Amino acid sequence: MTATWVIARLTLTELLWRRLVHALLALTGVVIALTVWGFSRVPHLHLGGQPLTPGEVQLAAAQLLLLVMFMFSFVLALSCAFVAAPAIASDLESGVAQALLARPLLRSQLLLGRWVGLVTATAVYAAGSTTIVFLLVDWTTGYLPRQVGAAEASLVVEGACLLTLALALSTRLSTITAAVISVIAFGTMWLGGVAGAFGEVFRNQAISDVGVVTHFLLPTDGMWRAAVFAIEPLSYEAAAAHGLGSTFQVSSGPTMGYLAYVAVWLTAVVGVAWRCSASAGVRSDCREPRAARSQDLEPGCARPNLAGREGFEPSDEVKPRHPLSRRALSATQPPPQYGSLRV
Amino acid sequence: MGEEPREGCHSRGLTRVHPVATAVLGLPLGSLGARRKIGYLPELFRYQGWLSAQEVLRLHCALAGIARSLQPTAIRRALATVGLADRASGRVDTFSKGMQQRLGLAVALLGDPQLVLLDEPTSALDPVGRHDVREILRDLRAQGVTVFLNSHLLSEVEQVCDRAAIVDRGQVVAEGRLSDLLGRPRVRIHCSGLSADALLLLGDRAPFEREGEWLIFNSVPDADIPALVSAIVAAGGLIHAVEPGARPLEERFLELVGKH
Repeated sequence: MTATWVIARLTLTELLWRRLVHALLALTGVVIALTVWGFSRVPHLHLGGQPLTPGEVQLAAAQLLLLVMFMFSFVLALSCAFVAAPAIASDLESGVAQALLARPLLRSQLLLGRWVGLVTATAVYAAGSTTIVFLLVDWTTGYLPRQVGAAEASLVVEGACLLTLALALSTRLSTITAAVISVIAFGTMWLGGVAGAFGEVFRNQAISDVGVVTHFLLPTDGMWRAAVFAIEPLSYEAAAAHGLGSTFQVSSGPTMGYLAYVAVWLTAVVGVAWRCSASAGVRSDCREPRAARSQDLEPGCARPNLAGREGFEPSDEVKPRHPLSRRALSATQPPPQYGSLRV
Repeated sequence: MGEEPREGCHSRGLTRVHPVATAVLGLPLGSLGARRKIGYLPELFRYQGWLSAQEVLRLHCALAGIARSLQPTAIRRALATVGLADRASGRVDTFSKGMQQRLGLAVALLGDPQLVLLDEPTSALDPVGRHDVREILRDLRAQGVTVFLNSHLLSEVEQVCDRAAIVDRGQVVAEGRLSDLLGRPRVRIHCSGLSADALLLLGDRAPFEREGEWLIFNSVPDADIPALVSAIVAAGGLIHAVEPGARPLEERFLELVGKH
């Protein structure tokens, strides 16, 4: 477990050195400043020569905040994909992983450490910047989302889902491929969610099912909708309940069942990544058959030969894949006679 | 793998070698326990460029489970051993390949490993660096550490290794003490003035190969060299040089893998 924390800490320190993260933080600062300036103008707007009533200011602020948050969710998704995709792939490509794995560090610990570090960074960034925006919007317009904590948690989970997907892909694919697939998956899920909302408006079961399926495939859009529900004013909820739902108007928050599903989804994808990491970067001709694996050894590394020991009968499925593997060699030729080579 | 200090392995294509040992240092291959006792320098590796040499070593100390209180001493010692003491706080991405190689060696030596596996440790080093690495290897040997060296530089293997194994296409084709591996002693004699008849007679006495004016006798024991020299002189030959010694490992290697 200690090794996992060492890697998590390394991941966090590493992020602070990445230019991508510097640019992200700087741009987030600029966007927050511009957003707040924009919100500070809202109470001074006029409609038909009359200043806006406090109710209208709140409604305008809520609409603008949802737009800003939509953009933030997109930026968060992109950043998560591009920050998580190199976490394993780039280590394997550059040789950093080879140097680390020589230590008493399991591949699964390297993966888990990376995941913990990335999720922590996402949580701090997403919760931090949204808290600043919410407080400043409240200060300038008096509008505060009704469930600040739920909104922030939903955005963090949305980011965590995408980074988990990117991390899992990066155990098998190159950095850029893993990042691009994750971003496309995010976009597709969002479109699926929009289609689902249309399906509900037009009472078309098939189209609304698309939305449901996408929410289960990759829960990013599902969590975005949970965030919208926490941010939107009550009047939106009422409008959405009358069939006017869209990607910015949601009639109900996520059910406990869906939240539990998201937790299971995250665990399952981390589990898949765990399995993939066992042989990530191991040459295919060096992999050993699964049946020869034992508990205290890592899959993918050299294994003791169990053939001939009591209770171990190699089955047909565990035939060595490579003709030069030990069992194949011992079956066809005698072991090298070192003594005879002395001439 | 033996417990006694043993050095040296040359392989062709190490990645294709399949494990024939089931345990290392009495522990299962690949287990965390075994890895705690092993120092490893991969052939292709990179350390995080944004870390300093000291921070890289601190990270590896933490991963190796070295107690926090012992880390500063371990790091200082490792850096001093590889000659990087004055660059401890330098960032890795400002290091030359040779310096990174030295840092790699320092990482492999952390935590007093009982077995050190080095894959091409001198590939990026200048002659001074190679000399330093040889000295480090000899020091480790003196401390009773087993060093397993994988190298394509056969002259280097000859200089530092007690034992060597030659691997061809995933199979060990020869293994043993270097002197046994190199086999027959040989002597090279630079001589002139021998007639063709004299050379024929000499060939009957002890077979040889010619390389210009050099005669290479491949199976002459050291004790027979004076008699051989006397015979050449008696036949009218002028001796310029006599070089006894084993054949280069490279020649033996080519012979073993069937390229000679």
